Amino acid sequence: MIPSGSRRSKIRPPRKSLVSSSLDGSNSDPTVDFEKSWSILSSAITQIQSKNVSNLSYEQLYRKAYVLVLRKYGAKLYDNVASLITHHLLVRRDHLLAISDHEDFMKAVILEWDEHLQSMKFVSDVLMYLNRVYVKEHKKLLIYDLGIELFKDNVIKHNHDEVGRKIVDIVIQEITRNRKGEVITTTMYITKLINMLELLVESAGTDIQYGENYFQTMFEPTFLQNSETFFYNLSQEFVNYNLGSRYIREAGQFIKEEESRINFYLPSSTYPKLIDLMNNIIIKDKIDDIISLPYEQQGLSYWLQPVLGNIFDDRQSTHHLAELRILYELIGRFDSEYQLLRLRLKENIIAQGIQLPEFVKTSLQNAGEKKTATNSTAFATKWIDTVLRYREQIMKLSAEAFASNPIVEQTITYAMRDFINGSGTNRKNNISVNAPELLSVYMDYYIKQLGKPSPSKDISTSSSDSTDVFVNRSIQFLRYIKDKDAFEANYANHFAKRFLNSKGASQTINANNKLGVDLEELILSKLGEEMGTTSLDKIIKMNKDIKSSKDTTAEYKKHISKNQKQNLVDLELKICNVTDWPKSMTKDYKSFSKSDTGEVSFLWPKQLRNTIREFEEFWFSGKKNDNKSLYWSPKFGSIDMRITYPSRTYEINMSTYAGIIMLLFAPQSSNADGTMVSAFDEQKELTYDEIQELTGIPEADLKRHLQSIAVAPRSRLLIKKPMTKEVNNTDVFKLNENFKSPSIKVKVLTVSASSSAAPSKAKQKTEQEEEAEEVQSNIAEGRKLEVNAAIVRIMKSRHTVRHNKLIEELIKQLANRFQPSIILIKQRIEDLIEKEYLKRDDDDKNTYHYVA
Amino acid sequence: MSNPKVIVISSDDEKFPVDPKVAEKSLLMKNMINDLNPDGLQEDFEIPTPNVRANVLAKVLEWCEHHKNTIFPDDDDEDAKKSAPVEEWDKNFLKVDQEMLYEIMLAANYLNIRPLLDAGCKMVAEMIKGKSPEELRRIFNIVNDFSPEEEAAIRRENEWAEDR
Repeated sequence: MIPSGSRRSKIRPPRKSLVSSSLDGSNSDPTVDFEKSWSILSSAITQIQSKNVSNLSYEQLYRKAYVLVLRKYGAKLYDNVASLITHHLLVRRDHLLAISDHEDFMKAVILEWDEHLQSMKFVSDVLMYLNRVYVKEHKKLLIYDLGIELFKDNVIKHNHDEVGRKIVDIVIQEITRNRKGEVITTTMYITKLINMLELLVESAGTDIQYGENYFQTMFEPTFLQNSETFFYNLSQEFVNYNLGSRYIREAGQFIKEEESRINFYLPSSTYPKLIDLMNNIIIKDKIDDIISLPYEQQGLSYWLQPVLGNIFDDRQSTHHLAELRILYELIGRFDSEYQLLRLRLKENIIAQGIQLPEFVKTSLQNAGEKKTATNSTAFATKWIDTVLRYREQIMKLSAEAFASNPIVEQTITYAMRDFINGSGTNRKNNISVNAPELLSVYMDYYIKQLGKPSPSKDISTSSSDSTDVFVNRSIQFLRYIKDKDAFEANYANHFAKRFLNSKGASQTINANNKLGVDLEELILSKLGEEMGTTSLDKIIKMNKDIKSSKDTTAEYKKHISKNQKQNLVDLELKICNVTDWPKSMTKDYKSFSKSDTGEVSFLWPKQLRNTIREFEEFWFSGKKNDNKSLYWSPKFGSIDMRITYPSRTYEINMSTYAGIIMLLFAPQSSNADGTMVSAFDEQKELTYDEIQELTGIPEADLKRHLQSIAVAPRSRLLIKKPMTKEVNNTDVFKLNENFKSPSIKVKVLTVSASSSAAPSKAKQKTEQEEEAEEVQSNIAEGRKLEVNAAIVRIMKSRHTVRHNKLIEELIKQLANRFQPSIILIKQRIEDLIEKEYLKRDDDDKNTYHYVA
Repeated sequence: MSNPKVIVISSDDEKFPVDPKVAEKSLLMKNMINDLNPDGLQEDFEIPTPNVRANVLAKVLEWCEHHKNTIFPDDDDEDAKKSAPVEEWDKNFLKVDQEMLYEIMLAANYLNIRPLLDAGCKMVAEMIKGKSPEELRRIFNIVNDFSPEEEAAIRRENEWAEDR
């Protein structure tokens, strides 16, 4: 507690004067003491700076400084030391400026710096007492730090940064030489000089870590500026090669080298600034131009070319993986989402994808394939196969060049979807493909193939493998299809045809597959997993019919054997509910039965009439069939007939119509002893017209089936006069005595509609066209209903909705099935308003309300 | 030589050989040793201390020897230094007459042995604590240069602080 304001009592030193005993006895004039001590100290410091310390006494110097400080000469000592060092440094500076050679200069500067620091350390130690007491008290710079500041001010910055600028310029020159590829010997000097500059703190008295240093204020800005110019010029040089591959490679190379260079020389704070600069100028600004270079100049389209090439020609192995990898890495440096890459990649994939149909067509033609229409089986299978192979190739590329990056792979998937579904159609190329239809054709083909009993011995494993492969590929492809409802309609169509046109027992792969799983069932369940069972509604219903047909057949057979009916033809029934099966096939179902006026155009042969009647009795005996009508359709199905030809007895499978025709040639008359006369002895001949009258088979079908059994080389059951390919009304038919076949079991293949040269093409629509139309209208109808249902669903849950929001929701909900057009939506809304499911708001035309 | 020593020489030329570790308790001696022997001590190294007498130097070096393995808190940590009490051994060690105590403190200041200086200062602080002005004058041999009126005035001003 020091009393305020009053005199303080001094604590006088105790009796003996200790301090004076430490001096050299004399208590004389302080000024002389200072000068004397100072001259000793200053010459000592000069010696130290000349690295000549051997004759100095550390202790003595220390003591001199100690005494001066005790005698309150601390400030003067400090200032004198400062000016002494300053003078020394100025001399050294002139020395430096005299050096012209760059490398020598750099070396000299570093040497000066190192020596200066060393001597400062020594001086600082000798003046430790000054540091401890005076400096701390008066908040001055420690001697060592003072040394650094004096160096900065008197060597580097003196005379408008004369030395400083020279250092900066020379260092940058050396770095530039290095960048240009020259080998330099001054690497270590550069690093050391930069370290030195970093230690030169600008604001006096502040911590190096927080204050700005010379490097930051002088060197860095100049360096960044210089680098920017250099990068710009370099990238221009690369661009002028006009060759994408070269740009990529050289840019990639330079960037790698520059990074290691920077890492070596520069402090970590500058590093990111420079890298950003480099990324922006060399990569970001230029890369889009490079990617988009045309094929000849090796842009992205050139690098992706092998993907396409490798599908058709495995020999072409030059991949441009290196360039793609570099591209990926470069873009990744400034954009972790790779937006530009993905954009251009998508464009390129779509461009490649829409070329595929053309390639497929050409390759088919080269292979001698005649049917190359875009919905032919050959085209469909090859195209789908090709697309899947394309996918394989591009995915391999993605793994090797893009590190299987999920966002990139997602873009690839979108791009493929685009070109598969035809939204990227190139106007010049007029081949457009109907993907849903083609997938259905593809699957149809393979289902039929896999259903055939395999001729090879090793059945079990190979065919179940190929089944799996087929199913997996189909589902894989299905995922790329946008309009799933179109696919479903097409598939339903093919499905119905397969069933209705199949001959013989239902095609399971029992013989081949140990598990006995029905291929159709398997596929249906997989499709259900993929698309949801509500979309497969139609097909599921048809499938039910198929199952119940089998059940009915079994029941009927039991009924027959129980009641021991005789003289009946064996029946395998296919009972189809008219509403669920395609109209193109069922539209004339009534025409084969008695019409309302009692007229019958079609006549069942007498050999079959019993059987028909018998089954009808059986059918209507069941209560559940009370309100159902049964219509027989000879258009479909097949007959197995045993015919004894002179050569041998054959078991022949042929279409129902063909069978009916053949039955006309069955022996009519009997011998005297009751046995039937051989049909060949009867030598029955019938004209086309007679056959037509007797059977009532429609003209086009009749001609077709006659061709199957009278013209087709392997199944010439009848002889036609004249032996022309076409069937004319004047042709005459009779049994072919010379019919021969290597096997007992013969299958007559029905000539297809398109190849039977139908003369009256013009007006009549072919069956195919009709089917196609039906499929389309089914799709359209289905869509109307789905949009309606979706609108009602949305309105019910929200009650009031704005027009735009409704459209948004609709598109979202229906995305899984198809993309509704705005017109369609508008139509459906109007429709529902009429039907009073919704109404418009009285004030706002754009808002709708749900009407309960 | 296997173990080079540091030989500290007092003002009266008495030599005190010590282990370098001991000597380095003094920052002055430590810097001297390191600066003048950058490759390490090869042989015995002499350090003259002309302003420290032999008996004082002996005490100082005794202290250094005793504390040669002690780790003292950081030099900049003011709080630790203020609150830490004087170690028992140090207390006994510094139970010397005043003159010797002051000389030890001056030597410690000169030689830059912070902990010893602090210990000394604390001892003196103890001596001051709780003493009346008369006692202080007696102990520290201070001449009273107040006139009786001045003294009375001061006492009156500071009455509030006394806890009688």
